[in-house]
Parts: sequence; structure tokens; C-alpha cells
Amino acid sequence: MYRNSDDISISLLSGSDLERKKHDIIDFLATGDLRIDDQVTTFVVALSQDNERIVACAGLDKNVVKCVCVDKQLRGSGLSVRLGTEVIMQGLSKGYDDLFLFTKYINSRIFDGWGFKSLVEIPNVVSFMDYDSTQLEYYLDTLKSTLRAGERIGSIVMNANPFTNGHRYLVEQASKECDWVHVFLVREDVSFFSYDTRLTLVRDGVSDLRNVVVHEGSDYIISHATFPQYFLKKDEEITEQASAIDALMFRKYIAPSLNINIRYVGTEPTDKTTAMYNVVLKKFLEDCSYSDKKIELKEIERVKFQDIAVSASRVRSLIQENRYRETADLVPKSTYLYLNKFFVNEKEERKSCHEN
Amino acid sequence: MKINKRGIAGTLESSDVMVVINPHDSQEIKLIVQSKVEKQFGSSIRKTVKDTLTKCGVLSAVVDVRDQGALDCVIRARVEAAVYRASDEKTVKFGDLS
Repeated sequence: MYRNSDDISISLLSGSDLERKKHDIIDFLATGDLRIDDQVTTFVVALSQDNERIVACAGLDKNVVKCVCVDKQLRGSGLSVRLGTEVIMQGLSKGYDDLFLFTKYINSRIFDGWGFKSLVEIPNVVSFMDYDSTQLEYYLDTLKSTLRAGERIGSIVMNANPFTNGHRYLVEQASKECDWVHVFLVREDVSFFSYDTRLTLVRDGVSDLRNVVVHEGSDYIISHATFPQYFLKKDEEITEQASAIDALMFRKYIAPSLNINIRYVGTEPTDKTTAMYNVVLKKFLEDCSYSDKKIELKEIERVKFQDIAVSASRVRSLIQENRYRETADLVPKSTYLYLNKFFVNEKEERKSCHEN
Repeated sequence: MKINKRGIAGTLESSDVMVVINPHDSQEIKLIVQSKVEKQFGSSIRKTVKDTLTKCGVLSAVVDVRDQGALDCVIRARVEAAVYRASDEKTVKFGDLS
């Protein structure tokens, strides 16, 4: 039917154009047993020139390629490569240094043809691939420059939104038990507190602990790419597969760069996503069927204040309820000083303005 | 020519090459080549890319080359196009370079 792929034109859809065509895309994806992903903001669509029917599509959600499907009759025609070129051009021109995708293990060869390489995989289940692995090498090189010698090298990955007594307690415990502790801050800037603020507060909050090193996060450690659900926080059950990828990335690339052999997490009493993540993390950091060195996962009981676990979400809700002063019992002095400066004073100023 | 921003040229299709040029923080060319025909033509591809960059007067850049078996003339054309897109050069003088 379409033996010549020149009869097919490729176009980009986003914004209102995408909304208009959304139903066609949903119908087309269904023919490949795929569902549309609402996080996708740009679709590359291949249309047959005679009847404007969709014959292939691929979506971009920031730096993650999703919803890739090619009409069954056109597979092997070279259309996939044209689609891939456009997707990569789009992603790279938007300024992303590396592009990622999740794919069923059996389909990963298609993306080899796009120049993607597998970073980690759950054999026979899912592969996590990226386009330019030199970016990961740069990040690992930066980490390696802070390599510390020791027997027990601990690690903690945190979002610290903002840094609380809970985080502080976890770091302290690790600091006592280990020769060195590497703390990684989630890089993604989608939280209530900005990345820069979170980083400053973590650095200030652990500055007295001599064996703690704070690292900047990246696309390769709890990011939009390695662990998308972390940032969605929906109640729906997160899949083991997706969160396993983040655990495997840590085990295969991050941990060996710094000789990390223990990862610390706080017990999670409320948030479902984090609780599930802890379970999956334990399984995939310690699973013996992977050749990468095992990482011990240590869960530390959450510190409590007045019988309720101290958490960043509790601090944020106090802020949202204008109960800033009460956060004093939940956060270290450095964090409180910051909150005081930006929220308490601001509010009092506003109040006095009204009074005037 | 000075590389000020990312420049991309080419495609993933057979007999073509995809070239991505980025600014580099040191005065050197960092060249990464991946090719289907690496074993037979890897060094020849590297030479063609480096020669083209020299002709364009590029002294500092990170260059990512994904080759699908492109001929030398195609490699030169794609590298030139990527360089122009990565620099603020407005007037294109393709003929002068080859």
C-alpha cells in the first residue's frame, strides 16, 4: 500500500494543533495496544499524503520519548528512522542534552536504530535507554572527583522540599554509622521550593557534619526521566518496573563511582509512592541476579514530633495554612531562618501595610 | 567560526550522518564518532570531520557524529551545515569550504 515512504509527510503537533488531532492519535495508538500519555506536549506525526491518515507517531514529554507507534504495514520501511530523526532534532533543539525512553525489552532494537543505547534493563521486561551516554559520563566524572576512601560509604537521595529535622536525623544516623555519606539532591525543579533553595538549605543543614558530601542531582538519579511517577504523586499504584529503573541506575552507575555500599531511606508512613519506592529499591539494590555490586538498603525509623512523623509535606501544609511559626519544631535552625525571612516577615509586612 | 549554541544537521537514515555540535569550555575539539562502519572507515570519518572543522575555523567544540555509512561529501556537507547553525554566521558560503 505505502511501499514508498516518500508518500508520507512528517509534521509536528503541539498546543491547540495537538488538541485538535488528539482523538486521531489516541485511535492510532490503540491499533498498537498503546495509550496516550497526557504528559506528552509535542507529537511528531507521520501522515499519509492521500488521506491524511496517521501512519506513525512519537511523543516528547520534556526529555522523554513516549507513545512511539508505526503502522504495522509500514514497519521495516524506514519510516521509523524518519520519525526518530525528527524526535531527536526536536528534543535536542529544545535544549535537552540527553533524551530518554522506556521500552518493552523486545522492542529495544528499534531504538538501537535511532542511536539510543540501553542504560539498564530488567531482562525480558523493560529497557531504559538514552541517546547520548557521554552526558552520564560527565556526571559520573564530576562525582568521582569527590571520591572518599572508607569501608562503609553511605548514601541518601532526597528532594528536601524543604530540609527538615527528619532529613537531618537520617543524615546524622548515616554519618554515625559510615566513614563517609554522600547526599544527592533531586535536581528536578518542580517542587514548592526551588532547586537552589533546597540545595542551600541541605548544605547549611549538614555543614557541621564533617563526613557528609552534598551532591547536585541530575537526569540520572530520581529524575523526570528515571522515575516519572515521583513527580506525579497520583494515588494510582505505581508500577514496579518504572521505579526499578531508578534503583538499577543507582546500583549500576552512581554507587560504583563513589564506592557506595549502603543506601539510607526513612520509613514512609503516609505517602504511597515513596512507600512503594522503598520496597522496590530494596528488591533491586539487593537482588543477586544482577551482576552489579549489591547495595545494602537501610530503613531508618522516621523521627517524630508530638507522635506524628516529621515530613517536608507537613512543613509545607503548615506554610500553606499560614502557620509558619509552628514549623520551628520541625526544621533545623538554618531552614527556619530561611522560612522566617521569606514567609513570616513578608506576611507581617503585608499585615502592617493593610493596617496602614 | 565560533560555536555559540547547539547546531544539528543530518538524519538517521542509511547513507546519511547526524552531526550535533555544542560549545566546549576548553580550546579543543572533542569528537565522538559512532558508525556502522567504524571498523573499516572510523579513522577516515574522523579525518574528514576534523578537516572540515579546520576549514570552517572551528577551534573549540564538542562534536557528536552518528554515521550510517555516509560518503565523505555527505559528511563534509553535514558538518558544515551544523557549524553554520551553531555559529552566528549569517552569510553561508558553502562553496568556499570544499
